[in-house]
Amino acid sequence: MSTHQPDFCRRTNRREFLQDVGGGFTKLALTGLLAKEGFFDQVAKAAPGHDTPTNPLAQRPAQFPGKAKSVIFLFMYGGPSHIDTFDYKPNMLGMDGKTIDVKTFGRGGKKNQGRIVEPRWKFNQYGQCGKYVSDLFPNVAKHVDDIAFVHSMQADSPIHGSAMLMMNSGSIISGKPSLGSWVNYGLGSANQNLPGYVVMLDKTGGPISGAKNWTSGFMPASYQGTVFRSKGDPILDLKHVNNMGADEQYRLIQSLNHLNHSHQEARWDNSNLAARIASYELAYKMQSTAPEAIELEQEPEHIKSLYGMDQDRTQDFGKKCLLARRLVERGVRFIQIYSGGAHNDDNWDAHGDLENNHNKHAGATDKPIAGLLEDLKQRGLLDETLVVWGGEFGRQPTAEYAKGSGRDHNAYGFTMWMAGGGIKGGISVGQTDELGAAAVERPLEVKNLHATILQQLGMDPNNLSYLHAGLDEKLVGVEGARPIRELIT
Amino acid sequence: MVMCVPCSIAAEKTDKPSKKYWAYQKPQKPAVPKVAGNTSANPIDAFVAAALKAKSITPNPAAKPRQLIRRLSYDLTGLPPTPAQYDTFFNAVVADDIPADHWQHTVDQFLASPHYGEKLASLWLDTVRYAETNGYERDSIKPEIWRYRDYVIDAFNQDLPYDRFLTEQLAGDEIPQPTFASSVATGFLALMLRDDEPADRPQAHADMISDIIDVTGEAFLGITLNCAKCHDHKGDPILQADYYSMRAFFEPIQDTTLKNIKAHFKDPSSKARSEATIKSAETEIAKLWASVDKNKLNTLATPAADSSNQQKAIIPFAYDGFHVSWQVSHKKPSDPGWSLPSFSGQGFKESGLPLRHGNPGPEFGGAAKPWDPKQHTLYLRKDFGLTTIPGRFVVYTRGTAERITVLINGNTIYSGPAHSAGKLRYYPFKKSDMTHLTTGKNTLGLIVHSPKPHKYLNAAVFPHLIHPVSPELYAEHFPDELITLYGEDFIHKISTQRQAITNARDQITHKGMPYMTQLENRVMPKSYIHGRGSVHAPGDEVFPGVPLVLAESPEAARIPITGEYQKTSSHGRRLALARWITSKENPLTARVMVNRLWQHCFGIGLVPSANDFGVFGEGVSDQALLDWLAVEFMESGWSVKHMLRLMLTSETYRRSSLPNESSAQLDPLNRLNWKQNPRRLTAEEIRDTFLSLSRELRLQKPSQPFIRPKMPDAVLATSSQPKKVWPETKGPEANSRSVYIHVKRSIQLPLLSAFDAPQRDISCPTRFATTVPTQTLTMLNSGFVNQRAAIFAAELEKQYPAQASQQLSHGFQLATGRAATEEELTELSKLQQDLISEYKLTPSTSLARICLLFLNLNETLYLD
Repeated sequence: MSTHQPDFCRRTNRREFLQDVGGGFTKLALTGLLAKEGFFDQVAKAAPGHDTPTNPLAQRPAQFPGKAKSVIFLFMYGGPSHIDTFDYKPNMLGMDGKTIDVKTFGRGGKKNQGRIVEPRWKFNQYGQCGKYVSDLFPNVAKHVDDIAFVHSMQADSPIHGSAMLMMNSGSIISGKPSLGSWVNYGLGSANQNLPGYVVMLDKTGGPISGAKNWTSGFMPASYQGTVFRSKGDPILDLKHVNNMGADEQYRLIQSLNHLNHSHQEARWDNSNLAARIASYELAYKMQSTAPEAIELEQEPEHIKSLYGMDQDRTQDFGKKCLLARRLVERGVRFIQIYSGGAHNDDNWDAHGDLENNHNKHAGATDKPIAGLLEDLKQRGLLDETLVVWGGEFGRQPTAEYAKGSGRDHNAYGFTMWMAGGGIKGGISVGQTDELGAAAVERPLEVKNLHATILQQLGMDPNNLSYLHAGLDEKLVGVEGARPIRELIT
Repeated sequence: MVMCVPCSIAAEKTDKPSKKYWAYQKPQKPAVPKVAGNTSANPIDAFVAAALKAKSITPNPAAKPRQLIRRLSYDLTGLPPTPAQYDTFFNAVVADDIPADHWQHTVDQFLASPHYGEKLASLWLDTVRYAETNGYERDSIKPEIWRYRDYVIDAFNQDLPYDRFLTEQLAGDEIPQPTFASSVATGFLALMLRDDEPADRPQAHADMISDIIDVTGEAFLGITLNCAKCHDHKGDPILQADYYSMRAFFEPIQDTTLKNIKAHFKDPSSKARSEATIKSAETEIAKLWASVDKNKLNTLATPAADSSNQQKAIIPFAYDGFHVSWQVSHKKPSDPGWSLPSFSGQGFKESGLPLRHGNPGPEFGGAAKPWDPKQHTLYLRKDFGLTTIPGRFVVYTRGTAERITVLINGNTIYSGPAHSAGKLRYYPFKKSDMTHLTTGKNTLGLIVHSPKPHKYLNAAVFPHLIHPVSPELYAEHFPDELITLYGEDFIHKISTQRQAITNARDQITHKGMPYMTQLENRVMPKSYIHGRGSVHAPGDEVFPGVPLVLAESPEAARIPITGEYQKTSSHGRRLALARWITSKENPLTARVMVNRLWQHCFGIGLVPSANDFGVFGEGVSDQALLDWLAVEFMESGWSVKHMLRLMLTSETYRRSSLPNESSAQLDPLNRLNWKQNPRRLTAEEIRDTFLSLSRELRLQKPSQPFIRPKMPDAVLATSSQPKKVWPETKGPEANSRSVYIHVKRSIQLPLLSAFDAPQRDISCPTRFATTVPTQTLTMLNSGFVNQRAAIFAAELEKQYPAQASQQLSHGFQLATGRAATEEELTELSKLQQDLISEYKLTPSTSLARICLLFLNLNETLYLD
């Protein structure tokens, strides 16, 4: 096999190369880059290390044609107050300070009584649907006809760490793969030069439990989220630590490939070796593709200002939203952007001064989110991009402390919304009681939300499973869950 | 909480067909097959040869010696062979021929390396999902849990019998004579995810216990019990009731931590400190006495030293032919008032003292009643009458007791090591103690702990000292008299020193209270089936028991907590479970472990799903071989090293991993081991190898509990506490072996994470070995890999100054374990020339680049 052309750039294509490596030997399944059929079987058995398919991110067809190709999950970490944003409670007007009987459960434990904190922002009606939205989100409000609101969300835990795990992985128990991992497991990545699952974090830091929120759990690590930064190098180690030039690196890879090929000659049956050789090509390309994806200089000024990049307080989140659009355009499957990081008022966790906290975080995100929706729409991308907005839970109608407007956590009822990706606009599903304390009409669980997302991507949420420790694990739990049918066009 | 559809289909699953499932049958040692042409004396080779012959598959020839030594070194130490190890090995290799005894000797040497335990530990730590943090919320640290990691390393190095290894992890506090190590072993029970801020506390606690059961099932038994948490197992004949019966063994656990374990156990090095304390306290006491007028002591009653004067005894010693009747119990009395005169005596038996087992020493002669050797702790009670309150009350014992508790009428007078006076131990009552005596019926209670195999006990009470003591000591024993002579301050100082001596003695002899007992519920809670896995939906009550399908009968499935189990300082349930799991009758325990070792040596287990021997698992490729190994394992005294030696000295292990088309057509997955399976280095091996090539690897165990090597800022920024999450270890210890890196469940070094190091939330029976471009970016661009390459290069330059071609060839040799070919050297030289001429690199930088290439070679990262 000394006739090899070891330099991948002199080869016609990778497929041909691999066939060459395979030496025409077809009995052994080349489970590497080319494997599509049989992939689920292989991975689903959590095969021993030596047998693991070598490119778990190879693109795979959806189980059925999906409306959405990508997801942008705008995660409002800390728990935004639904009754101060999108869940209009007119009956609370004039009740401020009144002590009433209401069951609540937050970090302060279970209570049966509390002092009402009236919603602190005015609500106005918007769009053809006449949806009431508070003054915290005047720009997002302009898109209510594209948005479906779910007001009756419930979560299993009103504590950040476990509730975050629930929203991200469907279970308050640690060790399960996150939503983005399931999406990449089911569909693979449409662009091998970029990670298939991207997470952008707040400048103050990650959310509580950090990487657990984008973990691949019991699946291979290749399905975990890749943290993407809006400044500097977008991906860890994308650039050489001492700035080795691209040409120089290319030259190095040439020799490396040469040696790796001659090593492989006698070991032609080992597809892992071939995959590693190919990964240098992919990594090399990623180094140019990923920076290109974040080159916002290419974007015209009016687009940047659409995302609020021309204003200090919206600049940061606006940039991430614009990046998200660019990543969607480049085939990235799942993008999660965090509003809020670290602890306390660095995120939406308004235990102290509700007004200050929510003005800050809504103020930083309203314009960018509205810009994202508008931009996706004007490019015709909104139809195939599912935008999800919400936190790990909502907030209570009553005050947490004797004084002040701070609200404790509320997992009994809260609001999430979705837009695009085949989601009906201008509708609202479910209701909380007149204080917003708990979901009373059509209570929905996080798994229903997850089921809806998978469904829109062309996967049957009750059929997308991964055999782990004897259980056919599913994102929506072994019991299964139905998508929220009212939302689906 | 996982909610499941209740499923009743498994009700009939425990009937006979399922019981006949191979993995539930006790393994029988099959005869080693005789196969024509098989010349190996190793039984493994005979089994493999038979299986291959049946399919007409020709096995591969032996691999090259350099491939073998490299593989062996990594498999047993996780490190590349050192140049010295290569030399020693090749000294006895002629051409490609390795003399059999030389290979055997080499295997033994690697098995004896202290790095063997560090490598094998990772197998176990993956399996039991070892981590040093709780996983939830702020992911706080589990105090002192790193001691468990060291316990595992030591256990492998010392070849602790596997049955003992498992028993200590489940019940190291409940076994007879718990040790520091055995109690650290129970850290196994503290490894689970722990929600420190749960929304539903009872459920979170239940989930924590479930986590222990799940891993016990998977790791020790190869059963996926978790499937039966919400309903009967859909594949295996495991009922929901089985799950909760297993759970009942762990029911009393309230919380588990190794916190303060040091306060309960002293490591051997503290003995010297304790002895020094005793010495200095004795000096202080002597000084104190020197500072007062000792003549005053003469006014005290002269201590009587009349040991023969039995008539004066309140309770006499037994002597030859004269037994004194006491009430004795082997188990802890359930009634806390057992030492009151009003106690019924329930659970106690009349027995004469003395009691004896074995030959405790020449001083303990005479006829004695037998002492059950399994009982290390005895509870004794003796009623006696008093017509008047005596002036003194001194309890005496003779024998082997290490600790004694003295009770009078329900009051504890003393607990600890005894004052020693030759063969005698004595416990004088102080004036305040005397107030517990009454005229009429009194009861003396003793709890005697004598853990050594040879035991003896005799006891008595006298109204005076029956052995000579110095007047000083006498005065100290009866402090009230001392106060009248020298004042309170003096007695206070003396008592303080005396207490220091007692404490120091205690530290030398006292094995302490194992920590688990502190954390188990004293009152046994009832156990119920949790409907659909919810603690809030209790169903039928259940009792400690094993899965029905693994028991002879439903009655036999329930494990009574009696006998040995009741004598533990806690509830004894975990010990009962450990005894069942490690019984040679258990069909799974030995098989599951030999299969893990097989996987370790051959890449794929005989049962590839190492945690699941059930019907959802991947089946067994050669049951006869597995069973032979399992029985051999038990017969060897559960010796892991013995099993590894067998596997590693087999021809099967030494086979080449190269492809063979015709064999592959007959057995494409190599389930019959016609070749060795090549493997990629593990994440930890990759880091350790790179540090080793740059000569930075620090092979000693770090002095700190664990290390935190530099974490890139970009990774720190992903934490909610970027500045606090990973305080970096500075200095050379940061380059310690990867097994000592802090295992924090929410953050991982990017190099380890890129190469599939498991996250340790759940048991990891088999690691993935994935390849993705971001992994390659780490290998090409990261600071860690490039720094190692640069230092690797600098070392080569130091060794071969201005000898470019030697630098290249030696670097290649170090990385891959073989000499580069002419063609390869030409390629490398050409590369270096290009880097210098076209990219204007200095020779040093160009060499650093080439070392980066060495680290990236498939041949560096893969073992043949």
